[in-house]
Amino acid sequence: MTTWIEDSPRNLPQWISESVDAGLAAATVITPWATPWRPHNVRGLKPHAARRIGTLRAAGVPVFFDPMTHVLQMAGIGDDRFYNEYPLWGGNRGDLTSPALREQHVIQVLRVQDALDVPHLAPTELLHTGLSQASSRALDLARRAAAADPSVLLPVAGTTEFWASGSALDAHVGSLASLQPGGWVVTMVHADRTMPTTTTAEAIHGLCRTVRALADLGPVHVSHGDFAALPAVAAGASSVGTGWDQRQRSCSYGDYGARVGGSGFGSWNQRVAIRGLVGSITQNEATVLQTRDPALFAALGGGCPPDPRSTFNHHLRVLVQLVGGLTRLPDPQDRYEALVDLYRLATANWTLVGRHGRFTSSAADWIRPFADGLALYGATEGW
Amino acid sequence: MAKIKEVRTFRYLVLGRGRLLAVAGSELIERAAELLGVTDVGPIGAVGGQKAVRRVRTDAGDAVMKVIAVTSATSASLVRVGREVEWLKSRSNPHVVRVISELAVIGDPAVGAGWLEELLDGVDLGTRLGPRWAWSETRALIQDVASGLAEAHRSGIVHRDLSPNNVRCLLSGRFKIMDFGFARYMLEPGVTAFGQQPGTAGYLSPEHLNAFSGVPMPASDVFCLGILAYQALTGEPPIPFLGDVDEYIGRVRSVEVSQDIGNARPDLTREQHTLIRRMLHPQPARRFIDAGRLLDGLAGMA
Repeated sequence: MTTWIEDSPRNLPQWISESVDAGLAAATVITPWATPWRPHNVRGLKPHAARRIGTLRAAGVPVFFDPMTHVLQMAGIGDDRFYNEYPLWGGNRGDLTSPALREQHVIQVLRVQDALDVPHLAPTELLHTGLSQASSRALDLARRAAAADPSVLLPVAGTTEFWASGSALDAHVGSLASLQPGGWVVTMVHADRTMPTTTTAEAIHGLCRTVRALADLGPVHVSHGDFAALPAVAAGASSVGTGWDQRQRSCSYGDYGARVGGSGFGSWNQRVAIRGLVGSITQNEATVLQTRDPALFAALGGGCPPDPRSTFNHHLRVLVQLVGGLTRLPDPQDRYEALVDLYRLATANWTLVGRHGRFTSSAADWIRPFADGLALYGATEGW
Repeated sequence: MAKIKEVRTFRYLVLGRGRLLAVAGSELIERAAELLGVTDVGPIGAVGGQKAVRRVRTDAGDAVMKVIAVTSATSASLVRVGREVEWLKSRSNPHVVRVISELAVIGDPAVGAGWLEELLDGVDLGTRLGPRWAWSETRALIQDVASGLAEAHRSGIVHRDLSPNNVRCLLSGRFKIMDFGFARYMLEPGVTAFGQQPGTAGYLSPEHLNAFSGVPMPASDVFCLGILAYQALTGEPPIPFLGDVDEYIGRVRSVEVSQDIGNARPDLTREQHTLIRRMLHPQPARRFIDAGRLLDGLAGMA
């Protein structure tokens, strides 16, 4: 288990099944935010959930349905063209204020998953701090889901502030852990839509602490994690979410905003993943680097994929190599030290790369907050 | 739940800032004994707090009657208390004190409540702490208390106030948990002074300081049992209360253990050190997540 392909409005089941066949992905996720519930018979529109799952399953792809209720608490959401088709609410959409409404929402989410014949993955609320009225509601949702199905996967979704909330985060996670579900899906949600994602060392530390604790109790998937999830993998996560669009590689408010002037989700896949940088650069930057220093470019594991499909495959291969390099190490301290070394090397490589021109991102973006958070985690563990 | 008419006269302790704390005085004790159909023989232990502990005579022999004065109980908390009393009454776990009556709620609105428990021999754990225990005896303490807690945790019940005065050392050499958390729902919150949740100074988990989704959970009971085990092994609680509430809360929140068990008891094995450290881990999810898991961890140890 290394990667799951997250959902995107772009319908590319062939890419997913090829990734699974190649051993580069273990599963895929569909959500009500990117896949229709009803058949539309509109040319070019993505098939509805049941049909899509049928196609994927026929190709041997394990599928999860993530209700992503936590999107509803993001500021500025507007792209709910598919979401409103789903029968996920007994009362008003997003109303989790009473126990009865929470129970109803949990039941309806599980019913949709039963109808789609996929594993149960509970809904949750977006959290901004570890302990609040919202965290109590999130715990209540989790309790109800675990009562309905003890093997349910429980989600934890929060902003960087939530993940940085120290002992309050630990306490909330402790309460969730006491439910002892079948596994975990954790998400760091970003207010800004950037790549690499904007985060803090404290948030990465919180993510690592949490994953380290939960991984002892069940498998942990880092939803929409991509490269940013590597510290969590070092802490014990077994898989990370990724894809060909930016909205599959990170979870940010802007990904769910109203669409302006078409889809607007196709630009990210042109960036080229570079293993030695633990990050990506633009195609122009890749071309310049390959021309000026082909030896360095090759040593960093660079490539110049000619089209979106090969760009995605290259990205996935790089991510799987990085994740696999950590997950093959059973000892948590070994995993931690391997990623520390990887980040140290990548920081030096960004310096080398910077000598060949001005790049749009740097080690300060791709490495520093993650390496700093990882160091805090290591210190907590006494390493 | 049995009820009688409201008792109009009961005593108060005057707390700081003019707050009043109800005392389980003679009127309430008398009413509780009447409701429960027992004869009061006299006090067991200290007299004058919010809870009275009395030796009583029943048709089946001597028992313990506990009476608490209530000033802030809500109907929801009374329902919860009643449910937990029912749960304890239906159990015969050798490591949990047996409740032998219904919960008797005094007054409407409630001004007190009482119930009967089996009379235990032996002494409270608190009287035995001080000298350093051998691992074998500490292991028995962990084993017995965890066995009692495990059944509660499986039923969704958290003790919330495991302290030396709530564990009994029986003449047989075994241990029994007393005073499950049900009574704490009804106690005046300000009595604790340490935060949102009831508990005993020197024996709080970090979760005792929390509200919302972070309140005491099964792993908090594991932490508190870790405190007792640490104190049995070293003679001192790991996060002692030194008289300053704010300073103490700071150390509890950051789980500032005064001396690592490895340094305090270098004669123990690495495995034994690891067990105690894990019980006292700052992250609840990194501890044994409940007493059942603790028993699993203990099973493979000498």
